[in-house]
Amino acid sequence: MAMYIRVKRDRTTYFVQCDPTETILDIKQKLHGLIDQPVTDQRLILVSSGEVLDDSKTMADQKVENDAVVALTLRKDDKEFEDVSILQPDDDFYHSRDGDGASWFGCDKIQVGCKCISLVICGHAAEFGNINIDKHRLYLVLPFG
Amino acid sequence: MKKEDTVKLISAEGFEFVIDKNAAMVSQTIRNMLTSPGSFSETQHGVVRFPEISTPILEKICQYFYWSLQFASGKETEFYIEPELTLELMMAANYLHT
Repeated sequence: MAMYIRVKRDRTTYFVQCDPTETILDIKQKLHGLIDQPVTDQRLILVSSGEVLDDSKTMADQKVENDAVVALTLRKDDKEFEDVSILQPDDDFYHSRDGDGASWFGCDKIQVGCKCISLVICGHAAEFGNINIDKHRLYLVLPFG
Repeated sequence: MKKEDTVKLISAEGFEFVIDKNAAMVSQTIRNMLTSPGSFSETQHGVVRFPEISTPILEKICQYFYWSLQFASGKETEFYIEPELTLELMMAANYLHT
């Protein structure tokens, strides 16, 4: 897989695998398989620049890079295209969870030692030895597999 | 792209992420959900709900799936994680066996 883009509309994000040499029309055809909208009723807009993407040009031509966010707008009943609409979850919802980490995660216990931090989550213990601390924040390094 | 080859992951706030099945299978937990025998609704409809995973975290996880596929095919780039997402992401990764 060479690259992917994130095509967003309202509350939905489609991850679409593609190649820099593919045209925007190719992408629209892929989307056609997921949403029942003909390619002529789809419009793609590169969010970082606000540019409407041209069917005949390739991804590379229009500087659509890996992991780029592209907005999808649709035309319904032969009318005008709708405006770009990408919804975000309510910010308050997210921030309110920031303060009380332990209870939020369903974490039973947090223990802070000088060399490691151990968490007990749903009865399972996990230990993180790789920790960075700067002035206000503490970073735990993820044991990604 | 065919609908049958994708799965829809739904976050706590009801946001939807449509990703390729092979990307979702990077997660052992999702792989089990999608491939287990029997007629689970997840297997049939290709929709998995995560009422405990918030939208930014689920998006980051999906990005990680694709990054992981790219990495496996030899494209070695860094995977950036915003510091404020780390702890929550770690919990989700643990749950998803990713």
